[in-house]
Amino acid sequence: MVKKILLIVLFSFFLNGNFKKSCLDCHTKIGVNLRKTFMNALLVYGGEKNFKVALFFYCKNPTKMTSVMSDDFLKNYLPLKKFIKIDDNELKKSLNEYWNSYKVIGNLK
Amino acid sequence: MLLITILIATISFIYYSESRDKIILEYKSLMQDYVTLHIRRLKWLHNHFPQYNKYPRDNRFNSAIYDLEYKEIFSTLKSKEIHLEKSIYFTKNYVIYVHILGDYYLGAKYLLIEVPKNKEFLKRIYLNIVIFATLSFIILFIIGYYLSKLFIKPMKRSIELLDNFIKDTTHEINTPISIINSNIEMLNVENFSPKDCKKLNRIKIASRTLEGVYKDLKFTTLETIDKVNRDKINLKELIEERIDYFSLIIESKKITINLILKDFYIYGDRSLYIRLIDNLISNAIKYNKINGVITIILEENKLVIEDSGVGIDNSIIDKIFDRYSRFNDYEGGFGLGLNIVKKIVDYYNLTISVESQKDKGAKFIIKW
Repeated sequence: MVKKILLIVLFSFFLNGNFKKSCLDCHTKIGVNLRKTFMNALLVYGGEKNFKVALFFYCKNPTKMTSVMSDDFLKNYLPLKKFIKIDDNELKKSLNEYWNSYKVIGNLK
Repeated sequence: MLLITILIATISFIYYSESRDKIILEYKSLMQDYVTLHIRRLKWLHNHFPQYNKYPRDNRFNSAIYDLEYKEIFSTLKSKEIHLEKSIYFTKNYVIYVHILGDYYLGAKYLLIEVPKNKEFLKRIYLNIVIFATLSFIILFIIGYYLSKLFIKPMKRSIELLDNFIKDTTHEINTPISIINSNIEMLNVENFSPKDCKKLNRIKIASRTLEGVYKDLKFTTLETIDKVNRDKINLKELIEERIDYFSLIIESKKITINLILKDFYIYGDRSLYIRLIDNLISNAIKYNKINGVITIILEENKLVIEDSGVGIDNSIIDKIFDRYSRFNDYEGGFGLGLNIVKKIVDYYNLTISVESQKDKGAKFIIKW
């Protein structure tokens, strides 16, 4: 049993991108609610695959045109956003984690 | 009948389609109201998720949301059948309306609203169709029956007139034929020159032909096969006797007769069998060529009468036993002979078949 738990923990560490380090820390520091950005993106992109592809593209090309956030929000925050210097695979893993952390499917009663 | 069925089926189908469209429209109107209401609830939940995560429910309908990748986000539907490509569809017990959302609240692209199916409405449609079909069928059947009677009436009248005419004529020709025949027999032929003998033979032939016609007419119009004798008949002797009866006509057409006859006894009414054989032989003579051949074969349980005449066209071979049916228009006659033959054959439960080729002759086979 202990072996199993250990394996699961190790496996999840291996699967997970560095979501906390790559995304959450910075967004928290500047006061951006990732839940809100998630729900805004979900409203526009719908399904999981579409969501991840769109956000991947946005992270690589963060412009007003590709953002799902309001103009007021972008006025305050976009200048702060730097181009992400992150490996594609790492970004994909982080987006997976992002989806799994905030997804609606499976969390409605 | 087929036309009536097609007509009723088409009208019923149109009525069903119209009624179904009407129901769908009514359902759509109702369910669109539910959609509007439910979208507002989804919007609210989207903005308050995950503090509130209870999917909105309503007593009047069930619902489900699917994302654009056709994944179920949440469902309270009772039906298992999901068709996101349709706008509205019916399952066994429910009607499901599919609405595509403009904003993907909670990630949903498809919103499905499910309400119980109003089976009474459908039952009423089916009942109306059954009532309509039955009434239409009865009315059209009555009209059809009336019209057919109206069209058949002139034909029936013609047949009645012909029958009456034949009955009257039959009565009238009996006495003259008897007088001619008896007087021919009383003539002293010894004093006749060969030329006059020839003329007398012609009169005899004509008289016998007339006698044959009279007997056929009498059989058809005045007699019924009710009272029949049960005589023991030597069919071989009877055929020879009838050939002798027709000998003058046979000679006049220079027809060769081949008789291959075995003794065969049957029980039946002699006069009926005479009519049967006379009609077959007289047809074989009548439709034969000059210098033709008639072959008569009698075996046990089988009689074959074959001629080398004009034959019967294949297109009318099925109708030759009908009353007033004739092989061709250039030979005279009422078309009664083979009808009489068929009646007698049927009465004695015999079978009759015909083999014929145009211009090569005809072969009648009777089996006991």
